[in-house]
This record gives sequence, structure tokens and C-alpha cells, in this order.
Amino acid sequence: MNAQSKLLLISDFTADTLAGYLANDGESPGVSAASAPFNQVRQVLADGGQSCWRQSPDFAVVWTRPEAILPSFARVLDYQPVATEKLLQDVDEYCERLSNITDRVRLALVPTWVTPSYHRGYGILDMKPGIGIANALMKINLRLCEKLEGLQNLYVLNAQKWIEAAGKRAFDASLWYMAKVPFGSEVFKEAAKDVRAAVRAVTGSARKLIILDLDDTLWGGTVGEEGWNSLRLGGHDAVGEAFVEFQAALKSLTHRGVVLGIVSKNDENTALEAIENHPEMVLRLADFAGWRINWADKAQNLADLVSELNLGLQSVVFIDNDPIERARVREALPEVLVPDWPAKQTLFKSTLLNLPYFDYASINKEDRDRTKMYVRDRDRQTSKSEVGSLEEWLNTLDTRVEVHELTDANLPRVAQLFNKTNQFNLSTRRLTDKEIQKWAAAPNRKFWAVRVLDRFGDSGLTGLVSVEVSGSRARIVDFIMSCRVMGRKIEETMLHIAARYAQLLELEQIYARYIPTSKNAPCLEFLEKSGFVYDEETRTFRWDLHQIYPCPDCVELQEKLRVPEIEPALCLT
Amino acid sequence: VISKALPSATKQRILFQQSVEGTPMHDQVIQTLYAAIDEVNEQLPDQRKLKKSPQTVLIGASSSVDSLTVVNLIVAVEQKIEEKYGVVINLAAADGLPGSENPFKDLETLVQHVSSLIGAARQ
Repeated sequence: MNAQSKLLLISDFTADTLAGYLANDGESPGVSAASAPFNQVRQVLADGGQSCWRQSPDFAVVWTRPEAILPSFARVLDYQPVATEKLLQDVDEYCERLSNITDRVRLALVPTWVTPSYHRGYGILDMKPGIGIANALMKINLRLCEKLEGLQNLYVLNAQKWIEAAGKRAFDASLWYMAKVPFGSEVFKEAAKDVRAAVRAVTGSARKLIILDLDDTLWGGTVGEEGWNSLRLGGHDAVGEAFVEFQAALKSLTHRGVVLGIVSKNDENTALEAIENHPEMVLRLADFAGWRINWADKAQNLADLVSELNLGLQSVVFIDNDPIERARVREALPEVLVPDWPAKQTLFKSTLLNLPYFDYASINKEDRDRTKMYVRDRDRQTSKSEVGSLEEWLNTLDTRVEVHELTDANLPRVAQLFNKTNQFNLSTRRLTDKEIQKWAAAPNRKFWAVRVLDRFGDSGLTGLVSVEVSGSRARIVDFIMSCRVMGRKIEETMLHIAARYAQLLELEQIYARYIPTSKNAPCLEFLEKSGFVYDEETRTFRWDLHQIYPCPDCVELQEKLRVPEIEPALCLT
Repeated sequence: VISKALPSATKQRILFQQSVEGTPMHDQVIQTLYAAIDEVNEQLPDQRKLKKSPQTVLIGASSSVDSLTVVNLIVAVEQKIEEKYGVVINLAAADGLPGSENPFKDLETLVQHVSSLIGAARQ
């Protein structure tokens, strides 16, 4: 998807207000939205030839009212008895139709069904199975989630959350009677936040790193003046408790892959002592990927820390209680997202948990262990300073690279790397699980995923390389690596894997075409030093396969490359 | 003070006459309408954003405002009036303005219409 993604809205009501917010609220990434013909959901889902599909939308939102799309639920609302089996059967039939569109778009979003909050249903009986409207609504929503679970590029969004956020303005009868709009504008505004967060998730533009100030942000008070014993943190104190819960909320985000860092104007030893020794601290040094604690400019410190962590500024959310520091970072580093922050400490936790910038399309073990990996990196860097040359240091790491082929088991992580990696990415293709599988299945293509381990631990599945054979040449199409393992000779190892394969095929040349983006300069910088010959005009790097592209001495390849099964006759010419 | 004995249409006419340009009531109502416009404009591209001016045409041959925007504005105004004045008005009914002028012709006619409805609701 490009900067301006195309959305198709398929609905049985007027949903143009959602399109309006998505296109005009100034949030990133930009989305241009078009509506499918009004109230023709079934026809549009069934028929890919309908004119609304001709614009080749990147993604679709299919938003329906349960009473309109499920005939049995309309009878439930009419207080008629309906067998649960019949309700679920209607949901299954609808899900069948929804599955039709997963080949037409990169991403399909389906909001859950809601009923108006003014509807009392059966009152005391409303949660009763087999009778209640609320009970039936829960059942059909659960069935919707379960039936769609296997579709990799289709996600169900929780619309009930939008209704709750909109409060008493969620439903407006005037809007319905005048324009067939069932919800108030606030509902669409909340929906737009989630839809945009979903687009960010699948396009790899979700944020990964939260950088925090310390004094009056992570704890109450100024540690340098009051000492860590006197900080407001925990205890029988509303503000102290709020800081503890804010820290706990930050820690919970690390369990889903968000990384924490510190940028603070303080004496480093004093601040670190507080973090390690204060009995009520939830976050300890092992919870932070890195820090810059000194009296220098925060924007400069932030940029330095992000660079040290091999991340881009576009990955960062900066949280500081001081509006002057926030303004400074916004001005100096516009790519960094700096949310407005409440003055009231009791709102810190809810403000944090409501930020829509950390939604990922999948979460795996690598995500959950990301902070640990950064801590191991810190240990690696410490060990680096203890030995002489870079080569010597690399030799002490005992680096092992496991080479894996594409499997159902590693596909979600592979898709995640495809869609989240910005800096070390040769061509920045954004592909769904299905598209990756389909691409890699062609007989003239080969795809590898690499896992990196060393004496400090397992860095996980962190590299991808793919080649496409055409005549006597192989093109490296994807060359993607997590910034976590940059500079440890994994880059050269991946080139070796691709070149060795091409040699086994007795090809003459392997090449890589660099496609520049605003973020992938690190990939270019490596290729320029890789030994491949660069043709600047075509942005192509070439290697003559009459010579071996060596595997670095400091790396042990854990799997022998298999002799390829490729049929030369099938190679494209 | 308007006598409760007067017919409804007459009361509205009197209230409408009290809501002339430059009065505190008129100024308050137009500011409320402008706040509603701010909300509606969040959904609109720059070239279609409603101008905060009494002369902004809403309905008619010279209007470039689409029907959904008018509906969203009506609802936003109803909500803002309820929040600010604590009265529920029904702009969708649109049958209360004296004379033949369409209350949604432009922002000025809408201000007058809203003012008269507020007055009527407070009686």
C-alpha cells in the first residue's frame, strides 16, 4: 500500500462519515475512501465484477447492521423465538460471502455487530440463552470471530468500543431518519482511529518504541533534588498509586512487543539508582532497551538513543509531562510522535492505553521477547568494548545462522518482517501471508528465512532473502533484516546463501536492485560495502558467480543448503 | 413577556423578531453554529469546508454543500444547542419559520430559525 491507501466501504447504511474522517482528519497514513452502492452488501461481496471493485481498493471495511444482514436476528429483535442454530447458520452464510473478498483486497476489516444502547431488549431476560437479544448478539459476534479466524488478511474490529467512547451521542434518530446514518459522528470518528491503526499495522508503520522522561512522568517529584526515598511512587497516595499503575501499563505493553527507553535531564547515577532501588518501581533497568540520562538537549539525546537501537525516528512515541520539552521534540524531530499529555497524573494510564499507535497485525514470540533481545544487545555492546577489534569481537560471539525455508509455522513472523521492516529492506514490498506464499511457490523462485543465535541468546527469525531466476541470472528480490542483528555479518551471510544457491544452479550472475524509500538507506550503505559491483544508473548491485561469495568466518551456518529442486526448463527467460 | 394565550406561530414570530442581528442572543447562537461547523468540517476536504460566515449558503441552486453535510450540520447544531441552552430543538421538522423563507437557505436564516426555536422551547 502506498501513502494514500484506497478504501472501499461496503455497508447497508450510509457510512460516508467514516470515509470523511479517514480522508480529512489529517492523521497518517492518508486514506482515500469510496462507498460501494448503498445497501448492496451481499451483491458486492459475491460479485468481484461490480464497478466498485474496478478501482482496485487496497482494503475494505464491511460494516453491517445485524438486523439487516441476518434475517434471523431481525426476528430476535422483533421478540420472536429463534433457534440459536438458525442464528449461527445465518452468520456462517454471511462469513462465506465475506471470505470472497479476501482475494480482492490486501486487508478486510469487519466491525462487530451492535444494537442501539437505548434498546432495553428483554430486560431481566436479556442475557438468557435462547431468549435474550443481548445474549444472541454476543453469540453472533463470537461466531463471526471464530468463522473468520482462519482468513489471514481479514480482521474483526470491536465496534462496541466505539459506541462506548461516543457515549450518549452514539445513536441519533435524526441522522437515521434523515440520511440512514445509524450512528453519531463520534462513533465514526472512533472507527476511523481503529481503521487507520489497522492500516498502520499491516503497512509496517505502527510505532515500536516509547521513550519516557523520568521526573513527574514515571514518578512524582524531582529525584535529583528530593532523593529517590522521597519520590511520589506507590504508597497510600492517589498520585503515587497512579504512577505505579502507569508503570505497570507501560510494562504490559512490552509483553506485546513495545520497547521502552529513557531520555531524561538528570544525573545518570542518581536516576539509575532510583530505578534499581526504589521498592515501588515496577520498571527496572532490564525493562528498558536503552537510555540517555544527562543534561543535554532531549531531542539530540532521543535521536542518539534511537540510532543506538537501530530504529528509525518514525518508530518512536515520546512521553514527557513537560509541554516545553514536548514542543522541542516535535519541532526538532517531526517524525517522532509526541502525544499531548495530561497534567493530571491519574490520567496517565488511561491516556497511554488509549494511544492507537501500537497495533500490530500479529504478535509472536520475537515480539514478546523484544526487550530481552535489546538487553542482550546491551550486553553484546559491553563485551564489544572489552575486546580489541571488531573482527575479534565478532569471533567471540559464536554466531550461528539457521536457514529455514518458508513454512506455515514461520509464515506469520515472515509476513511481519516483510511489513514492519523499513531500514534494512531492499525493495520494501508489502505482502500479506497469502501473497508471500503465492509468490514463493513459483518454480523459479526461492525464499529463505534466517534465525540468528549467539552466546548471548536467540535473536529469533530476523532475516529474509528471496531470489527469482530468469535465464542465466538470479535476482535478489527481497533482502530484509531486522535492525536488531545489523552489523553482525548476518547481512553478508544472507548474500552468501543467495549466491551459493545461484551457483548450484550454475547461473552466471546474481544481482539486487535497490529501490529507495525515505527509510531504507542502511540497506544501500551495506550493499555499497558488500563487494557487489554497483551500477548507480540502474541502482543495481551485481556479483559474478564464477567466484564464491564467501560466508563470514565468524558465522556458522546451521543448515546445509539443499541442491535446488528447480527445473531449469521452468526458469523464465 | 409573551402571553401564553397567544397562538404558537405568533409566539415564534415575536421571538424571531427579538433575535435580530447584533443582539446578544443572535451572537451566542451564531457562535454555537460555528462550533457545530468546526465539528462537521473535520470530515470535509479543505475545498469543501463550510465557511463560518452568515452568508454561507446551505441549500439552493448556488449551494455546493451536499445533503449529508447539511444533515450532519443539523444534528451537530441540535446537540450543541442542547448542551449550551439545555433545550431540545427539532431542526429536522423545519416548519417553524415565519414566512416562506427556507430556514436552511444560509447560516443567517438558520441562526434566526434556531433562535426562534430556543425561544419557543423556553416558554
